[in-house]
Amino acid sequence: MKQTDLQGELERMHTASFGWALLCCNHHREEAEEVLQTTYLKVLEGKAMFGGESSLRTWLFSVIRRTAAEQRRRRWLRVQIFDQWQACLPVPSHAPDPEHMASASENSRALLQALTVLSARQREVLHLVFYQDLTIGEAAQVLNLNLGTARTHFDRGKRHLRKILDSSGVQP
Amino acid sequence: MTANDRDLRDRFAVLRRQEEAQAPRFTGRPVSCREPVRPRSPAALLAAAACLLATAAAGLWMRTVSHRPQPEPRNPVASLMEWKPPTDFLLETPGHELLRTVPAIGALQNGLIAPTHHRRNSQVRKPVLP
Repeated sequence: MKQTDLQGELERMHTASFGWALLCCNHHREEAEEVLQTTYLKVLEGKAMFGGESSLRTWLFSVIRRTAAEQRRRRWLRVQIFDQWQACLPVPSHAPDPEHMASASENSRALLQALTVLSARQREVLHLVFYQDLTIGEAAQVLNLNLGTARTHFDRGKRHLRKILDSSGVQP
Repeated sequence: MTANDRDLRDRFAVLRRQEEAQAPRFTGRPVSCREPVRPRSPAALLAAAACLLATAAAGLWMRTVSHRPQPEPRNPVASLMEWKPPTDFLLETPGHELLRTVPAIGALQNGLIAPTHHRRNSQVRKPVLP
């Protein structure tokens, strides 16, 4: 794929990619932007190359997910090393960004809050299927899972999420 | 699709619309971008492997040469018993044989007492009178 074509595709999928990056970074906006920028660099510099085994979208999402995991690991390591000298360095947390939560509507806040209770796999599968409109098979490709495993995470996640949303009392 | 699925999809759709509205603008190609790295050709890989092999062989050869046993010196000292210090001649003082032998009375050679080491422990015989 040519450089210009690739850039056009990235631009076309930019908002969807940002949504996925947000989920991978626990809805921390700055982290998500950094992850997305790093991913674009990887793709455009050819460090991450599209092999054509899957769709470009699922491949890009898997690169974003991997990049977010790398960044999270690096951040965790930095906190461990410089903990003694830099006590003020923010520790990565799984709670959503308060700023992001404040800007969301009540329903979305409830949904974001409920998603934090789910396991990471369940959260990711539900996001890819309901938010990104991917099939469970495509979600399995992004997460590097078997189809059966992805289906199990999807069903359990749905049931769990329904229960949490019902208990929160927020109507759609 | 069940009612639960539809409800969840709607909730996620609302969240997506809100997040899309907040998404940063696509800035295009970053300045630091270079051309994509092309996969290396088999010939280049082969050349690199050959270079690596040659370097390893050279290193091994150098190592072997440096550990080769050195040749023996040309005139080695066979043993410590045969070795003589170069200043040994200084101990050879004039008349040193007088100090090492028992003098015999009356035996003068050239004004010196002749060494009698060949007659040590022998009895002095009286000359037989004719």
